[in-house]
Amino acid sequence: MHKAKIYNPYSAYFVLPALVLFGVFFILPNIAGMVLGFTDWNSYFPLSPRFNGLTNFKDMFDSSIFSISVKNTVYFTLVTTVVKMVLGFFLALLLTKAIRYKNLYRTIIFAPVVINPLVVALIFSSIYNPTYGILNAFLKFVGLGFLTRDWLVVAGTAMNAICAMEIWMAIGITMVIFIAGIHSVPNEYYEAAKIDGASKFRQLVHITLPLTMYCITINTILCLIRGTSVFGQVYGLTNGGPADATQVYYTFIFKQFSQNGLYGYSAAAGLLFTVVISIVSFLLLWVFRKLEVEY
Amino acid sequence: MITVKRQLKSITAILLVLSLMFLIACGSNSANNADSSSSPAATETTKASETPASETPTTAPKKDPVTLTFATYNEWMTQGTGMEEVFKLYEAATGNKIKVEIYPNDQFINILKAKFATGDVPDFYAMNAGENGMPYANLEELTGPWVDKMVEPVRKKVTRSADGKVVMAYFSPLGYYAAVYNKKVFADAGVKLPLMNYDQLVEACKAIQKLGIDPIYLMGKENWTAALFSYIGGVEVANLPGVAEKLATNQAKPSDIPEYVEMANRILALKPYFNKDFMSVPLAAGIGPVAEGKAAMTVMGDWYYDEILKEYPDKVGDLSIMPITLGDNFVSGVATYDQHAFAVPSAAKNKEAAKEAINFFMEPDNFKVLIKPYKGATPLEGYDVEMSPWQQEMADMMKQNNIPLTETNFSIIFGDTVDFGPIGQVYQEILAGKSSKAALDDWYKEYAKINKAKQTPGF
Repeated sequence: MHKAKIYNPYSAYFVLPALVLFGVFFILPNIAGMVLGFTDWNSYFPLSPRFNGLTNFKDMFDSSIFSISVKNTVYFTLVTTVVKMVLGFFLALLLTKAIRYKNLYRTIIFAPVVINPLVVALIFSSIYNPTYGILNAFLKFVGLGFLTRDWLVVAGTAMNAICAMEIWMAIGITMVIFIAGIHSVPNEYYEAAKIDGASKFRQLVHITLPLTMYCITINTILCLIRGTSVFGQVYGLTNGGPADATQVYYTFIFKQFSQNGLYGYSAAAGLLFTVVISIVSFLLLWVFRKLEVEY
Repeated sequence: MITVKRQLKSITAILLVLSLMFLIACGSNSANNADSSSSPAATETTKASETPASETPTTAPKKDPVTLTFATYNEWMTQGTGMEEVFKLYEAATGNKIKVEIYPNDQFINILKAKFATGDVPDFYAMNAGENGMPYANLEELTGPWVDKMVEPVRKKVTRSADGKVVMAYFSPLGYYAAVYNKKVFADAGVKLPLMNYDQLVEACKAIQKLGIDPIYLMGKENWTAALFSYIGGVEVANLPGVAEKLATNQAKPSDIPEYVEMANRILALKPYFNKDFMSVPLAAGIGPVAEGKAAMTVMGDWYYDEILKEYPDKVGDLSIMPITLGDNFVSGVATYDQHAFAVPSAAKNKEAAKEAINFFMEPDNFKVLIKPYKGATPLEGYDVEMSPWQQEMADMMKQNNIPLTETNFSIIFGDTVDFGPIGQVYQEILAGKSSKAALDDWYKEYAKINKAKQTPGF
């Protein structure tokens, strides 16, 4: 005897509204953006974009501002990722020990995460002010006046100043994820290691690190995404200046879109970004998955 | 029973939707009637004023108040200009309202272009005069008593080249781009004015530097301030035979023209005479050093008079403005014809009321309020516009030394059809260390891309 297969459409009905909204407000615009990246859509003729093949991509690679923005984005991502990972991990180690007021310290370190990047940028532009800023004032006060400088004027210093701001702002996220990972390591491993005479350092290298590798994976991916999609920090602090020296990828896209009115060109830049980041993310995930262990 | 209940629910839901749609339709229809009633009412008002009083109907149809939407740059409404005051006068006189929409300075043009494309245009807007900003194609012709009173360069600027119709109402006193200088510092340095060529400018800078004073104060954080040197100092290059034509029709890049590269190099050569922190100084910080005599001059527009009058009223007499040049054999006073102007989009819902509003603003008494706090030569014949002492001194200096009045280097070269893109950052990049040729090439790539998208002939 065959049992009739009962078709239950109710689950589809419940998913459908959200799917429609997701499709209309996310999938369709993204597909449209990808297609428009191959057109000359601009503010002068906004209702008649024309297909122009790979011209946008050719112009992009020809543009010195594009190469500066890529270089700055890579630099910003690498520096902030490495520092946040290392510092975040050690802060997590510190704040999982039995110390007084550790919850207060965790809160203080995490608090900047919830502040809008533009607001943080405004605050830091005052701190970095060469004449009235508290950074230069502090350096002079402690006898390190020779270290004072125009932090946001020289290209190299400006990028590092932006990196410092980002690290201060976002280190709470990495720390919190590492704390969760460290807490999930069973205590028995440390006890067994202690009995076997393993030093703290060896426990760190052979127990803590391998068993929190999934946290390293998550944090690396998050730092990578955050670093490559940096916008508010740069826009608020330097707006890509001086002379495009601190231009990053998203401020480059924003400038082409809002100031030059080159919508198709901006869409092409966005498409390129999506493809590159997707490839890099998948590669990193594959590499880190190989490094994860289970005891 | 259950089926009947379900049917009743469905019918109720359908009736509710239908009545909502009906109400929406009625609402939009009454709004349309209000708009369309303003036009015939406006026409009726005009007709009534033309007929003798004895024939004027005693019961003229009442004009419904209209709310006009007005859009402009954020900076133009927050700087304390006379627009706010004259809008209040208009509202009191007519009963109409003006709803002001302000946009970020660097995005207004593109936002307005998007609004034009979608038909969601303001009833009128204010922007810099010239087809380089917003194309004149979709603007209403403006008529009124003021049109025939415009001085010729202004009329040329606001006229649509395709059909010769006036499409913008210029409401800015004619001013100068110039060097704002401290008379006492120049006198103490023994420098004779005016400076008739680049060599004299450099010698003056050297003499001032010996006094321990910054010869030139540059507010370099804004990327357009360094470009002002080329605006006013580069007129000789712009007037060289063939330069303007080649650049405007894309027959040559700026770096292909040796004189253009030399002009950029001369700006770089002035760097030792700038204030040391020029790259980090914002615009507002430029007032103090020149007023206080800590710097000899800055390159700016004559609107600085009002800023200095506000901040340093006792020092404003120590300062003045003068022409400067980067050329060897030519110096000119550079006037601005690309300042504030009103326009009415053809797709505006209340375009007739907007045109009437503009005519109200352009009446002589209201014009005086509108242009506050700016001073300068009058853009309209017979209008009483005050010149500042600085502008008078510059006009006298030019007359005594036979210095002509010209437009800026960019206006001469690119006119109103070619978009010259991000010119500000060229000189900022050069001052930051990039070679002149590389910076000019990068600028060319950017403006060529924009003009290609704009389908400018030659690009």
